[in-house]
Amino acid sequence: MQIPTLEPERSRTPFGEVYEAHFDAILGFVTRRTADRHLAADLTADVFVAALEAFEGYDFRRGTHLVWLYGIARNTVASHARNAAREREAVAALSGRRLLDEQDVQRFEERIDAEREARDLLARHAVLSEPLRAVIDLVAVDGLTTKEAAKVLRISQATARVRLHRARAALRAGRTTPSGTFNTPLAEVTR
Amino acid sequence: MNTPVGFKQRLGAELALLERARAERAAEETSGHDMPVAARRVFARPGVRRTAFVGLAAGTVAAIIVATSGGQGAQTQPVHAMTVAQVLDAAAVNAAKGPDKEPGLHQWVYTDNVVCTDDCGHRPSWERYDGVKRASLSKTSGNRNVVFVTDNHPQGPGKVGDQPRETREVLSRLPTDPRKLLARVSTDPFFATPGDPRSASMYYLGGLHNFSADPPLAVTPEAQFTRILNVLQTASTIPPQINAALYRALALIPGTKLVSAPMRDAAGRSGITIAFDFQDQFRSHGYLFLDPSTYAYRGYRLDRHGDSSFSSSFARVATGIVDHPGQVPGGPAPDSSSVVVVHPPKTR
Repeated sequence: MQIPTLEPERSRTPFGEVYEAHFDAILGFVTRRTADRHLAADLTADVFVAALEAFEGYDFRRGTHLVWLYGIARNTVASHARNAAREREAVAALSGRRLLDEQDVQRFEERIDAEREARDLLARHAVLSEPLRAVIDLVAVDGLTTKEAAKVLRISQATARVRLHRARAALRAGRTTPSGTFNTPLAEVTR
Repeated sequence: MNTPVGFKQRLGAELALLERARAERAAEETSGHDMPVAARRVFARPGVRRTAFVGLAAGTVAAIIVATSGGQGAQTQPVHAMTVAQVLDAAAVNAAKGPDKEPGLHQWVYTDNVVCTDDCGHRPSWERYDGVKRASLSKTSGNRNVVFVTDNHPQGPGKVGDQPRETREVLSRLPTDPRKLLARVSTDPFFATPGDPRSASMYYLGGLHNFSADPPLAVTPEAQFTRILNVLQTASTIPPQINAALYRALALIPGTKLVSAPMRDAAGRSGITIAFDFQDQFRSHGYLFLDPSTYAYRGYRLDRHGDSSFSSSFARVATGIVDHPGQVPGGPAPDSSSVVVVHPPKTR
């Protein structure tokens, strides 16, 4: 039997590469959840600053870099929603919006427009309880597998599957609009 | 898909800076020694185990680090380097955001520089925006502070920094395209510097020589660097878009590089340092200092080596627009008894 080591297994990938590889995914995650380009820039910066702070202690046995970053992004967006300005000011190490030029602002707006459907989707299933919504967001909106979503949420795969199932059932039961008006991702998960 | 490329690059660069600052802080906390900067930087690299070195003398530490990092091969490479282009791009983005406030014609532009040559001292000065008067602080024989106001009559054709309003007007007519701006600043005699020369040291001797009489010089990176630096240093108000273009133009000059070891400016502040090595007979080094959080211009330093080496540096510690000579932003107007207005003799 192998004796477990106390030291976390450190990532051998430099932080810069992790950033390069997953910037787009995290930007997508954030822009799907906010309609304000400045806020999206700030939150994206916050996610990576928090990731940098935690990078040394990151243990890759807990999941891939992307899954780990999604976890941080979830916390960042949630903590912003809970107590926006004050908390941000306390932790903000750098201001994302300060880094935007005109072209970036344009791209952020395009991005946010493109994610509008996904955002509407989030709003439509806001009737779900938070634990159920968390799972279905990650699977249906962010495109994670159930296994990855479980890791982001730090719950077991079985729990994730159950919650996903219950979320689908709740959405089917509570559906008041004709099924044709749902766009594809939600239609898929509620099928 | 719709990636904000500039934002991505800048955020990456900021993260690299943060990462480096964290590593340096961690190394300092662990070492507790005043070890040479170069050693500290190796120390700070990921993969180099720090705890093993606690309590060793600095010299020994450096030797052991070399051995350790050698053994670890590629693992000891810095995580990702921030480029001078990224820093200057961030400086440009922030500069473009202003604020943009043109002073009134009879308002005064206040600047406080710390100037270091053999020793260091504050040099507060005031220029009336229309360029007609300037003021400085001086002590009377009774050791009383007085504000000396003098008329300002620049000789010959105008030069950048001579008169705030004229300077701003000329600057605002420059192209905002960095390549075109660099070409203009490099060739327009308005931007000629005392040093434009093959020798950076001439810059320091500004005003002692009539440079406009010199034959036109080839456009070298040295001359370009000096001219841009001269605009940043001497222009008291710069329109934001032009300020941004100046930083982007600086990034186009071959030879600028980011200094990895922290340097302090004349006022003792550490920040971002951009270096430029002059290919002149004195092997001069020029340094440009930027604020680490806003990237605003903070000053420069020039080191000359050779037979008589010297170093001079300027740090801009305060600027502002005030209504009276001798006044600092937010402060009261100086008492009229302490203001001495000096008129030159009438020639007509």
